[in-house]
Amino acid sequence: MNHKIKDMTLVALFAALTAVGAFIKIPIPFVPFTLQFFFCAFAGILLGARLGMLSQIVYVVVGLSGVPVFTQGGGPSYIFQPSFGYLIGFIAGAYVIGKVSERFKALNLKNALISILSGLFVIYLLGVPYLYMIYNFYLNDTKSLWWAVYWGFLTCVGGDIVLSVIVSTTACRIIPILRKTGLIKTVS
Amino acid sequence: MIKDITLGQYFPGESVIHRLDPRIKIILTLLYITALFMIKNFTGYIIFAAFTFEMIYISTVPVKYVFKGLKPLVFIIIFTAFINIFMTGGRPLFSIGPLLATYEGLNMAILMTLRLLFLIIGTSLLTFTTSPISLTDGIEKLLNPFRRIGVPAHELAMMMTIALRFIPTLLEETDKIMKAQMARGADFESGNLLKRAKGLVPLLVPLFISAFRRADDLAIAMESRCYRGGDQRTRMKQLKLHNRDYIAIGLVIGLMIILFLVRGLKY
Repeated sequence: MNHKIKDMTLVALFAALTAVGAFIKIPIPFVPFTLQFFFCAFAGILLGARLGMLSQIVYVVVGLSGVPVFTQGGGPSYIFQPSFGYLIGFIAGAYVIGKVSERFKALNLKNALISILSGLFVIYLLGVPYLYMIYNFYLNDTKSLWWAVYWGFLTCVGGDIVLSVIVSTTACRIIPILRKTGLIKTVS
Repeated sequence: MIKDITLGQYFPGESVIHRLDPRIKIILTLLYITALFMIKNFTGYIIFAAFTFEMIYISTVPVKYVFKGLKPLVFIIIFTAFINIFMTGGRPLFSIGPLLATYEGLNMAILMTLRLLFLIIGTSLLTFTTSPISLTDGIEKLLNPFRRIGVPAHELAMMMTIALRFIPTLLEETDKIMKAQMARGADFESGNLLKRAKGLVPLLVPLFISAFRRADDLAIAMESRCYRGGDQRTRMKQLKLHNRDYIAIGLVIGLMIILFLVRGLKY
């Protein structure tokens, strides 16, 4: 079978799944807790670096073109939302998660967790400075870097670490099933 | 569950703005944002507001509908205005307890709020008058020149279309699997964060397997219909520039020139 078409449909399906993840949310101020990161991590682990990143790009572009797939709607003006940095982070994060997990020979619970946490780190590395910059330079509210770290990192990192553990356990259960049914190529 | 999500914010209509070429609309929206950031005084905003509301009027999208889009951002707008009034230094206006409002702050707050409002109102006009499918078309055509540096323009647009098609399907499927697992005794709604997150596993395993299966089926279906990418593909709807597109470009550039000229005014 032509792998290019299969790759395209997979990437599209994962973009759609990430959008579904944005609907499952628990509201906390400034940065809402959602399952987007969850699906971003899955995209990285199950699809690999390049396709995982592509799926997140498709998701972000669909949202920017006005379909309300982000936590607070969608549309081009979303770039000026303080939380848009995390969406950029998802793109980079999926890539990092895929890259790190590809380096391991076998994917067990520990290896999966290491790759997801390194991706999570990258997401916050992009998300928190963006939050800080939008508030200070675009909205003109002087906020300290500590404030950005508090609301953009400390309040939500706990939930995301819990999610990371769930992703790694679920991924370790899904991958064997997918290999057995031949739905994914065996990673050499 | 949300049923008409694929339509997004699209408000079907037959106005001139609806019929503009999507490529032109995307470019003009970018110019509109640039123009907005050029404004430094109230004269600029009055001209800008007149232009924006004229556009909304022509587009036949109800004003009520446009303002509904502001709802999720009310918090951030009020918050920003509040911070700006009290945190800017200058001549005192009034004070509430230890908080001191200044003339400069009030001025800043109003300009800031107007900028935020128009940014959302103006850009939402693009998504109100263009269906996601024709927007995707426009994006594909605009990215085409970048193919040489490795941007997969056609593939990106195709994947966006597929994603749009499958978002409602997957939402429905999530709902179905949830109900099926609840019927088997799964609990999604009680316990602390950890317990709830753990409860998601029996939802996710079938959801992922089924997503993979759908991707597989779709790939086979596309291939058996001889899909082979964007090269030499012909289209039923060709994008063509009309007079109305040139007029729209002229209007927006005219607006930018006027805004540039009034920049020097004090108010």
